[in-house]
Amino acid sequence: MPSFRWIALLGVAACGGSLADPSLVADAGHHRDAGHDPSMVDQMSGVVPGADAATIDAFPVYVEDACADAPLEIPPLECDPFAPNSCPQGRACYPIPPHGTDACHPGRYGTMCLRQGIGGQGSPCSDGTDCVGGFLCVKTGIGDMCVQLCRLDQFGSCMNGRICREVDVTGSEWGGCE
Amino acid sequence: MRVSAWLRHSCSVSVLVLGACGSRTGFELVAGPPDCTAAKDCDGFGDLCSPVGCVNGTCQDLAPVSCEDNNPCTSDSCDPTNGMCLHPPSTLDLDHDGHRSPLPGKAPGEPNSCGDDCDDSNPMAFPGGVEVCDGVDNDCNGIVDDGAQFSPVGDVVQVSDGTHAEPQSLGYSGGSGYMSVYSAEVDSRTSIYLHALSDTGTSTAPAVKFTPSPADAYGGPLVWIGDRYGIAWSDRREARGRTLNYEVYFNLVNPDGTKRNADLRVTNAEGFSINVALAWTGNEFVLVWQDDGISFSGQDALFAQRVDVSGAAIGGNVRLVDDDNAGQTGPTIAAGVRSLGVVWLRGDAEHHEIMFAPFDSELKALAAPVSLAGMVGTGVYPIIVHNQSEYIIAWYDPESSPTTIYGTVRGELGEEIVAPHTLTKTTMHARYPSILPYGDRSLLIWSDDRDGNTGYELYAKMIDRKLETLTPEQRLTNSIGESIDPIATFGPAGQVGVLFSDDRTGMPQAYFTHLNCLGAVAKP
Repeated sequence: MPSFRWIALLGVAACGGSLADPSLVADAGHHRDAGHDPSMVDQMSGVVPGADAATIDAFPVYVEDACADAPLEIPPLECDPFAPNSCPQGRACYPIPPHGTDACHPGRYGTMCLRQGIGGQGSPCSDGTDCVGGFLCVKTGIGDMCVQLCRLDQFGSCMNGRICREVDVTGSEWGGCE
Repeated sequence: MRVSAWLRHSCSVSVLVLGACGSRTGFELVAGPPDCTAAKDCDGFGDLCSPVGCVNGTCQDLAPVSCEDNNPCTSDSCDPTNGMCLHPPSTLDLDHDGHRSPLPGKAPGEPNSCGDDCDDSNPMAFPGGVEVCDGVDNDCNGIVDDGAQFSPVGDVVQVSDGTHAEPQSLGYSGGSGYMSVYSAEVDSRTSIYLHALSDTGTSTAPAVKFTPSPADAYGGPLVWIGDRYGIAWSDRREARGRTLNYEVYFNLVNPDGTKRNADLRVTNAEGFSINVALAWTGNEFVLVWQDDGISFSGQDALFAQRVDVSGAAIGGNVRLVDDDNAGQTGPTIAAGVRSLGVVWLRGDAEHHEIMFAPFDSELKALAAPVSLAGMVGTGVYPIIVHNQSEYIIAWYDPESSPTTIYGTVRGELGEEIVAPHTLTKTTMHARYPSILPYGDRSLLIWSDDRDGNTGYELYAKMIDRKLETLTPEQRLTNSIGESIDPIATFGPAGQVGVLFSDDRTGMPQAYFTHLNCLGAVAKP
């Protein structure tokens, strides 16, 4: 089966779902990646849209303008969700979203103590703080739900046949029990 | 002022002196300057397909060139530079075996199909070919490797690096090896990597970092179409501030893993455009994904996008199924002969059902969506493959006890052929089905933790078109930890390659193993 990446829904103004400009929807398929020079497409590929492939020379290669030397940004860490008493009573440690400034500086996840919710394993959620401490709100292929936080490097950290799956909180080695 | 401009261009000063512009006087009006003195003065001059001429000082459209030849097997057009008609074939022969793929919705070789190649992604498959065990329907009889059996090699190879990695796809381009796709976290950033492997899983070239931006990237379904791959994924390079924003991208990939174009940004809306699946119809790619940014309710909804063989979008994003505010997540897609089959989950994390619907090549529904699981529970993460003339759909139900895998067979227009029933028998938990279709049978690979070996192992068996077991189960892995998420594909010399996730060394990484073809292929 294809892997469905779990994406954490977070505690601070993190959820997507803002309404899209309908004009963008209609045009969406025509956008080229703004981070690159679109003229290079023609220069590099020489491919004519819709052309019979028999007329296409083999292996045009597009050389990408990558983000050289993009610094590794320091994440804002206020707490550790695995550490006891990391947050005051009634609050729990949740990931907060990266602060991106451009394609080459997407930011990194941090952590923050926030008022904790009540959702347990499998409970629908829309925000990280909907879940009780020790749980993450993740966007999955089966809806947005609370899952128990686990460590990818600790085998058996999930019970009852569940598996510790990767989430997109990069740099943390955190997972969620599926 | 607009009025001034109108006067200046419509009446000469002398006419105004003699009478009102256009007034009925006894004087003969003086005509203005002619529109043109030659065709080159006219708008549109130079387009020899829609010619213009200057007749008595007036620009006129002349008869356009008609290139319609009433042949459905040609794409008719006119070259505006010389007015000549062009009639290239309307179907493709990407594998250069002299046989073209059929038009969308047509079976190979049927009248007006304009093609008889049953598999245009492989030059070893064409009508009249000789069947051998190579993972290909060589003679186009609808059956791959007729009668062959398979044996696991019992050996696994780690193919990924980084802190941890997830397998995403396994491609085969007809050569001597595979192209693996995985997402791996390196330096706290997750990127998609393409890594060329030999038939035994060893590296044949350094892994290529396919998404060089430091923004996290996930996904990567890879589809071989005969001379190139298509690949789709999501990344958050467009995120600004603290609003997460994943967009869907597409590109073409050469057989060596190099990128062919600039990334095609498929979506353009804040929010989560994720879990993208990809299919090739024989003429174009179709992507489907879940998106909570495009839908006006903020709920996840299914969207799709057509992309042509050169990697250009065809039209815009299309909402596949308008289902009010019901969530739609986790779509997968398979290209059939007469339709595209799509399965997904409807509902939310607590209450959901597995849905199926067929669509035509222009993404219009051919039948209303139907719920599949019905009496056998709920289920999650459905997969779909096309097998000869029907779709096989499988999923697992984590709420059932024991957790088991279910399957059903649907026709190309959605009709039920085999009712949902269990595909595996376990005393513990069976998850993550992967199915490789052979026409008259299919290879099922899945994960099961029943053996007490501390974690899940991979198993395989053949099932028939009724989804009944044909061969004994074979165990593919044997290690402490989780061997999960198998992705199977046909490989060289009749092999079946399997990419999967395994944490036997402490952290999840992408691993490869394979099954060898056994025995002679039965000839009719």
